[in-house]
Amino acid sequence: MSLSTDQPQGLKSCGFNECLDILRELPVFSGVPLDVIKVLAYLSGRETFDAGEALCEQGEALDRCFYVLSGEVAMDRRIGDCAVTLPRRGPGQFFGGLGLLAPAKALFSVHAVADAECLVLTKEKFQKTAERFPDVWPKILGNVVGHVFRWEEAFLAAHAKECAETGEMGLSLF
Amino acid sequence: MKLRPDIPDVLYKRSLFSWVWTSNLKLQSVLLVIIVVTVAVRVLPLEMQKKIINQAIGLKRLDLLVMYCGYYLACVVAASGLKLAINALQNYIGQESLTDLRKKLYAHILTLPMSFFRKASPGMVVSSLVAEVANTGEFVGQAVAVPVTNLLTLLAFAGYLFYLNPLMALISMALYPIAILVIPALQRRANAANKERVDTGRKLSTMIGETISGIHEIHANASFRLENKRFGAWADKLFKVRVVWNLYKFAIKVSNNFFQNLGPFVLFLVGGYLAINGRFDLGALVAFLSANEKLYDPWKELMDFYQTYQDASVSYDRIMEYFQGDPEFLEEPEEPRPAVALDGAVTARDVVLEVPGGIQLLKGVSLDVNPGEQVALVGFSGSGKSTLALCLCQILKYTAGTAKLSGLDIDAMPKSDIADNVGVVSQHPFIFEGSIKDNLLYSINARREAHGVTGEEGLPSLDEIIAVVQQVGLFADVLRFALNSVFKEGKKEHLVKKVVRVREAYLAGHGESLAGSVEFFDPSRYLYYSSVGENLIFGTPRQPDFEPERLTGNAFFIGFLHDAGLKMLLMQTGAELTSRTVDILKDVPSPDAVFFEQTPIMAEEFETYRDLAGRLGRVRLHKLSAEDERLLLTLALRFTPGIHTIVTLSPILEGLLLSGRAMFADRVATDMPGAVTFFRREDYLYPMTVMDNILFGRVKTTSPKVLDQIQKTIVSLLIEEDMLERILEIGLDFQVGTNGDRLSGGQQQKVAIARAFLKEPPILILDEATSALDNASQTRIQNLLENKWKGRSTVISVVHRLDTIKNFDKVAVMKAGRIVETGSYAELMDKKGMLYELVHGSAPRA
Repeated sequence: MSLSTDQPQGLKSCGFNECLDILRELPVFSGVPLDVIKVLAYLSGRETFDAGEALCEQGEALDRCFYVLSGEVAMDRRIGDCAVTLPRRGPGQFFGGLGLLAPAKALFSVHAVADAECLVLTKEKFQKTAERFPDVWPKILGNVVGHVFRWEEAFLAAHAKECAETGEMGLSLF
Repeated sequence: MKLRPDIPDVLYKRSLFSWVWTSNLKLQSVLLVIIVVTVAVRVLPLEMQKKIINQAIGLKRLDLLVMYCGYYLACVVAASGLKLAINALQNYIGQESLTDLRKKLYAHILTLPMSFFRKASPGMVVSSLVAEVANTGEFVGQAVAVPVTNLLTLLAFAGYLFYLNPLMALISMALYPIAILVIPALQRRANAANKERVDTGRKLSTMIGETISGIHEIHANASFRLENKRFGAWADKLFKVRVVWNLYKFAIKVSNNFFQNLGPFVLFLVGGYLAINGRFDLGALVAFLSANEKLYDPWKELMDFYQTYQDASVSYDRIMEYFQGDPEFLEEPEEPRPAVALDGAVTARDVVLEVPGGIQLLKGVSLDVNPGEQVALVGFSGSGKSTLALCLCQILKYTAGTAKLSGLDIDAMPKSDIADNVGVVSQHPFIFEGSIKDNLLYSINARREAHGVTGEEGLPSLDEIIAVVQQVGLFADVLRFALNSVFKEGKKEHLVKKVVRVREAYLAGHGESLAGSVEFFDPSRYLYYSSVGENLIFGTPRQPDFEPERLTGNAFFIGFLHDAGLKMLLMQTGAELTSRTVDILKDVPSPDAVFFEQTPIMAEEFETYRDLAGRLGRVRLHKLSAEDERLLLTLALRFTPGIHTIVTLSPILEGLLLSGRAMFADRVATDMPGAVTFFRREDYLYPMTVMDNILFGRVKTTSPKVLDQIQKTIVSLLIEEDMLERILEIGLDFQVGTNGDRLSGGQQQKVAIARAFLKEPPILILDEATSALDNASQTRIQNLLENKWKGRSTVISVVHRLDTIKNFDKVAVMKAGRIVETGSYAELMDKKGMLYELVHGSAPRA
């Protein structure tokens, strides 16, 4: 009898510690106490996606967040018949964080372009944890609001002219 | 003359004493009779004492001594027996009344209006029903027995004392008025001191809490002395307050004892004087002393009873005040009659709903819906669309205007008529503990119970249930639950054979394509998605002590672990799993099943392992008790590295486990042949789920897409074997957990929709009923409404997704508590009014 040689990737290292380090560094969880991050890391799972497989589809409920551990993903948004594709993203890419906080539909489709492994945390598990540690909500809300303002500031700086022409108010005055 | 006072029908208006009247009066009468006998039996020994001393001892008559002692003994035995009987009756009466109060209060709470539940905390309702009402029960049990027994005893003893010597009786009782004056005065002071103690204690607690929260600041400023001084001041104050409080308490105790002990002093002094002068005999003096001492007991019991009464009346008043409120609607028709059948017409005229503070949530809404018509209520958030829907099904009560169902005023209809005719699906439906099937039949069973229907009458057939499950898109979920179930050996034998046939067909058709998602039961490989125990046994146990959960108690197996060099390594793994899980979950308040999916510790075992984790920090592994060893091995044997990723399976342990599998098989073959049947492709694997059996392996992923893909291929094979229905029936028995927490939000909503559909009501009210569903499921429900229910049931649907409303007969657009436009989708879009704005608005606000 021989030792198995095709041990899954995730089983080689201690998945939990690695996952904990990743979640701790995510801006959306900044300031969330370590004890809560530990629970979230524990509830997160690894999923593999074959090249071409969808991580999420535009218009579908965005009910989990993803952190790309390996491989490559592409994001695109379909407007009528035309598709807008964003540059490919590799390991370290995180998306879907807002979907954890409230019901939302994905505005983009995300596909694996090369076999990819992701850390996945579902909204259900996140919500169950947040319900039990309600003190995390103001922190997360603060992170989201901070992000919205920073993003918009950068956007306005880059597209000042178009914004003035279209009269678009943006999000920070919501 | 009417003895019994009028008892109001309304629960919260009833007095505490009314429960004494509605308690078991027959038993209370029996109790009274026993009490009278008891009192007589209590006084008799005193007379016997007198006779023993004066007649038997005084006259040196042995026969009289034996006789009187016999009477004395009989009285003492009888008094004890009767006391037991009194207590038993008192307890029975009290508990019976308590149960009666609990049932009535629960029934009352259920009928209270929604506005009550918005304010009420579930914790308060629970503690009222469970703990606080207990005082009332105790009081009702004692209400007759204690005062009557003790008053009669007091009177009997006092009477006996007067009978013996009126002068001495008066003297010995003269102390009681003094006690009545002194003790309550002391009690008042003690109460005041106690209040100050509580207040000071609270302030001290607040200060400690503040210190802990601000510990950063204290360390940063090294303000230890300052903080110690602050704390010291409060601690000193508490010290003083507690000393004073305790002094008062002791003073009360001492006073009580003093008055009690002063009695004999007076009696000895006066009685002795009278006895010396020959005006009082010795026997009477002894009897007097005994009676005087016994006076204290009923006195004390009466004081305790007064306290019970005080406690009961405080908590009773608080409960009744809290649950004050009348149902807004009739529960059932005043005269019993068969259910009414409505045609489905709904009308509303100038309906207003005003909440306290004069805020109008509905400001005069009018709407006409014909039988079978489907209406979508849309609008901006806060426009009142849900409020309107909830008013039409009596969940909320409108405050002005009229609303009718088939011409009947909703306001005046009993709730049972509404429930018989209206199916309601709310945005956050509630799923109760029980099986999926119990929840699907909840509405139907509620009506059957209300109409006293028993047996199978009125229940849908399995086919009908499955059809609805399919229609609402719950089919795949139910199938998954079924495929994840484990069959007990000897049960469902006909299915077992079919499953093995499906396995072969599956392998032939799909084996290769799913190789990446499934870990097959290969005897030469370590299985990461099977537990350590399963990896070692790798077969079906044929003896009970080889069942997975009993392995740690199986000496043969433990001996094998030891010999294979696995025992310490597995204990080490168990210890790691314990420490990791406890470290992660220790601070999670009331973790539910979801928190235990990724650890081998089960929810109900968590406290045991939390304690064990504490011991692991102090005691070395090899010095643990046998029970702790068992706990660690249990975890290690459940450890499934592919799922429980908090701990890694080391290559050394993996290698040892794999060779252990072969060693175990050899040992069983030589020492315990037949204890385990090793896995073979042609057998059903009883410890495994149906899914594992079909795949002859375990799915490695939790990805819903892969699972769906596997399930789809399985379904067609199940149909071929004509076993789909049986399998689904097993899935319908899936236990959903408390609050349905083993179901996802989407599954819960599907169950709620199916529950309403199964009832086939003439009116369906859907309040954002599909908000938790994915696009495909939403479309499926929408198609169902448009095809199956069109013309059959009136549908009033509060809709948040505007792309689903095109085929509704009518769309009513609401804004700020009013319907601003009504018409077909096309008409309203052409009009370019509010609906147009909603659909094309810059931000989706519906």
